[in-house]
Amino acid sequence: MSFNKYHISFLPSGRSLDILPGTSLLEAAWMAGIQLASACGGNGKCLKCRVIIGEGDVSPLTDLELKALKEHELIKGHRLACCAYALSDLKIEVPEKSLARDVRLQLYGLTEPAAVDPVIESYDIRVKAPSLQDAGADMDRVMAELRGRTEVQDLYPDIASVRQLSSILRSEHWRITSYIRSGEILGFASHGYPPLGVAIDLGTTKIAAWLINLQTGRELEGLGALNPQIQYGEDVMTRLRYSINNHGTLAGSCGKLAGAVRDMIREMISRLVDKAGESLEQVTDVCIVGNTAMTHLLLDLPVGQLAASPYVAAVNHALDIKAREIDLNVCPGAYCHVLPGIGGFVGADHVAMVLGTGIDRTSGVTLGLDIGTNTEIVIRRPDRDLMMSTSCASGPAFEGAHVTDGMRAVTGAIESVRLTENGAECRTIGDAPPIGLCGSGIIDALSELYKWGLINERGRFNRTSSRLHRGEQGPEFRVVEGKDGEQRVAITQRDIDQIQLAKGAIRAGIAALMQETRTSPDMVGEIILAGAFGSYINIANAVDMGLLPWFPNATYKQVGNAAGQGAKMALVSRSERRRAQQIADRTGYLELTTHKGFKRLFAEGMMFR
Amino acid sequence: MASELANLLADLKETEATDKVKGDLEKGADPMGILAEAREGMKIVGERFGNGDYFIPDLIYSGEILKEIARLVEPHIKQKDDQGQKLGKVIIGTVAGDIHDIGKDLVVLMLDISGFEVYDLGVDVPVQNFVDKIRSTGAGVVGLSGFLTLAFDAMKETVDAIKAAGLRDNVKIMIGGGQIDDEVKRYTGADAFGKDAMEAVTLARSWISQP
Repeated sequence: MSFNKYHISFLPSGRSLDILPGTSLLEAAWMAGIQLASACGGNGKCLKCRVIIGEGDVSPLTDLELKALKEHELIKGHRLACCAYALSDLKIEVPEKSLARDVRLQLYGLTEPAAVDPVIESYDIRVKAPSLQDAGADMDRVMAELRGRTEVQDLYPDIASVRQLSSILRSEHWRITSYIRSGEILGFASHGYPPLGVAIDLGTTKIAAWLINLQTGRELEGLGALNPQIQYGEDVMTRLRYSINNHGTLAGSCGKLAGAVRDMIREMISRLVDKAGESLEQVTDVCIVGNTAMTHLLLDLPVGQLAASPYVAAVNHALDIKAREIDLNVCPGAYCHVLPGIGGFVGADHVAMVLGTGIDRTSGVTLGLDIGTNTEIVIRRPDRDLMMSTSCASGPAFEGAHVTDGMRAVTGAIESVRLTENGAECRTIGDAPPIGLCGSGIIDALSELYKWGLINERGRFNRTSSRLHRGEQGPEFRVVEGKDGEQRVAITQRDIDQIQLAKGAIRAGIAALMQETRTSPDMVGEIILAGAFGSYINIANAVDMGLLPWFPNATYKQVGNAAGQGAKMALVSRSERRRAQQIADRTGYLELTTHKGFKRLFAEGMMFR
Repeated sequence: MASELANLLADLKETEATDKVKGDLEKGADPMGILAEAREGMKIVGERFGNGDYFIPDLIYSGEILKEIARLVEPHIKQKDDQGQKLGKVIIGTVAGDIHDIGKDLVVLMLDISGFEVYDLGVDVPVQNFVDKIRSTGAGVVGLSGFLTLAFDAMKETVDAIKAAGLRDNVKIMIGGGQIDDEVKRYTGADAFGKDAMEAVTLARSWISQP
């Protein structure tokens, strides 16, 4: 499929890119790495993604925009980026107000600080200035000084640290800090500056990053952003397909996908360092977790064999690579540690989740879930010294996608719903006027609809009920009526279908894992829900509508971004890195599609009971 | 009025339906008659799905029950039912690289109970197998299934291979699965796409109309 391209430049950032016709300006902005706000996911509902067309032709105004924008704004060229498409090359102005701010990205995971077992040693040294009588080389002088300080016998410099040294020695008047990793000299900074590290949770939709002092384990700053690869597809398979079609099946580079995410990570690290008032030279270690597709695309690993049956990774073992290999401009010789994966699409983020929650050390039978576009599930049976994981394609429905009035968890999203005799009571994020439903709101609504008999256990609407309305797509339940200028928020049969497909996949995954590990419901003592979605849902409602199983002896625990916590722990600790590798080595992987009886489990999981 | 077995199957009463079949067989009932009743039940399931009373799990359950009934009846069938008028031959498979079978199996099931002679090639089917099967059966309809977006490329390769083998004009090709739409149809070079198993039947019917 090949088409013409249009060149789009965004002001004031000056970023630009080529897009295919049919790409909305919102998608174009995301592709260019501009965090243009959008709560409704590009459905023309939240009115957040306003831009101003400077030069060029765009598609005609939609009815929606004519209603939403004021006349003087229309004259000035205001548009909703999600409703407008390029018809020529464009210059577009992005107002400051339109940039995303309050996305609930779940930066804060478990709060326990990670125990430090440093990977990086740091030494403040003073080097004697050379003279004609004492004309030893710069690096040799530094190494002689360091030999008296470290226990490591075999010191050797990274070539990039040699390049950095001569000028910094002189500009800092022979007093500098040097960073060493297992005898390798990585680089230098001004005297007294502590080594810093960055932990990154590279998600399919979102990226979270934290700046951490490697000596104390203290978190200095945190930052969230959308993964700019979204422009190449919402789900991992579409991105893998893009990568394969543009670079051949087995060999070589992931090209644009790698470039986009590397640019974003580099920028995030810069912003973290700026916010903390530190310098990039201090960033001596980076630790990255992500699902198998995300780490492969970041590292430019071949993905052809991952995308087709039998879905094998190029590598599951942990990797230590030079940060410069993925285009990060930090301490010149710094490393980037990528946590190991388990198998199939169960990758480093899942290992980090297990590490972060300590599921590998629980004393009772534990079920761990990280619900997202892909849902990873793990069961641990300490009595049999057994852990097994699987991954299921639950789709983005719980993040609001493919649901008519679905949206991400930002201001204006209905996050909880309760049905009453004659209506529905809603609470929105930020107590703002309702725009749509985020995942937790959808769960509540379906649970309530089922309890009130408005849907049956098949998930079908009770079409005789007077509480349902006739909408464009058949019967619908209006969570918000939409009177007096309010935004109407409705749930259609198709929306329920989508949620059922998602929950069918998740429940089938849990059931298959329990069968494989011969675990019965009464054995399970603890259910741990990780990730943004799992942390905000009302557990009782999720159990009622059958998204989560009910186990008689289990307690449910919501732990936030556990994968991020695991990344932070591995960042500051050699022993946690070893533990992560042990988790990966010892955890079995279950491929669901080959599990006998999966079809039936999937069917059962879709029912409301 | 539908028969008792047809109603049990249509209401997805698994144990009752299989018990009824076992009892009937013990009493010496005609196995072909039992299968005809089961087909009648599946027709009701199809109707309920069509009008929104049933959803995917119900199709899966009914398929599982039907499979069990067929397993029970099979040993009692003395000779194959040759006089049963088949509407036409359809080849179905999940394309290379993809191993998802739930949707594909539902299509096979619905085509079968609608009276088509279905050749199910399974999952992760190499391109050449489709070509060979068209040659050996002379089937006029091919259905390519795929859940992963990556399957679009395998579908295209399969259509291209059928073309290269000089068979493209002999067959109508339909595609279905996860996120398939009109654009994907154009990309793969298929003749049509279906959103669910019932649409596959409608398409096959429209292509293999009255002889």
